[in-house]
Amino acid sequence: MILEAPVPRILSFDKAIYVRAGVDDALQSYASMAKCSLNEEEGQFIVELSAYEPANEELIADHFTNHVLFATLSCQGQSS
Amino acid sequence: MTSAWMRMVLKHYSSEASVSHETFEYELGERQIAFTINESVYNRGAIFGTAYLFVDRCFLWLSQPQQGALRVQLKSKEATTPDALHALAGEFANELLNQMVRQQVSESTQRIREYYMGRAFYGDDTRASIDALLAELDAEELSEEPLEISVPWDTSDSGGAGA
Repeated sequence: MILEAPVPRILSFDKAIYVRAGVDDALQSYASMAKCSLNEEEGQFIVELSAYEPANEELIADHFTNHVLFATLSCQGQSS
Repeated sequence: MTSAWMRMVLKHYSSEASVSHETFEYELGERQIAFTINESVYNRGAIFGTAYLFVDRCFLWLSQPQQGALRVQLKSKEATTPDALHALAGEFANELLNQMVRQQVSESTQRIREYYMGRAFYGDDTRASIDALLAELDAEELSEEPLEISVPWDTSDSGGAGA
């Protein structure tokens, strides 16, 4: 039997808004919950995210997105 | 995803009879609401400051569909109703205005704040008042003990100490 690999969820973050440090921070934080990979193309940070528990993937993706925003704002001094 | 969304347009009345202008257009989803902000009206700092305040209440995703426009997608962390989503978007818009006003007040009072801080840290008057306070403390320490409790190391009472 061939098991089909789950399709990773793709999140794109606009470079005009988000900073690389914010994406890296989120990648580091969520590495234990999901397999993540990062690519950069056409002004976007592209994150491929496959949760180790697929049932939680949407929730993890939402939290990941918020984490990137929060880390970006922290880097820019907006959260102070 | 966008096709499944319901497009909503809020219209404002105009003083000129029955002419309406679109002022706040947003797309409503099951648990989310999205709208585009014109960056020539609200600057990036105000948008980020507002987004920061909403991070604990909802999931946010920002994108730039075109130059000079920033799209905000708010996704509720819990099950919600369309009315609550409308209210959320309204709160976001109000907070944007609040952030803009805060920035303007901050900019307009920047010089006076810098002046006060400069005076506080580097002004001569402050130094003089600190010196006066220190002198006052020294004077109090040198003054006589009001309760006149004798202590063995006090030289003025040494005559009785050895006796």
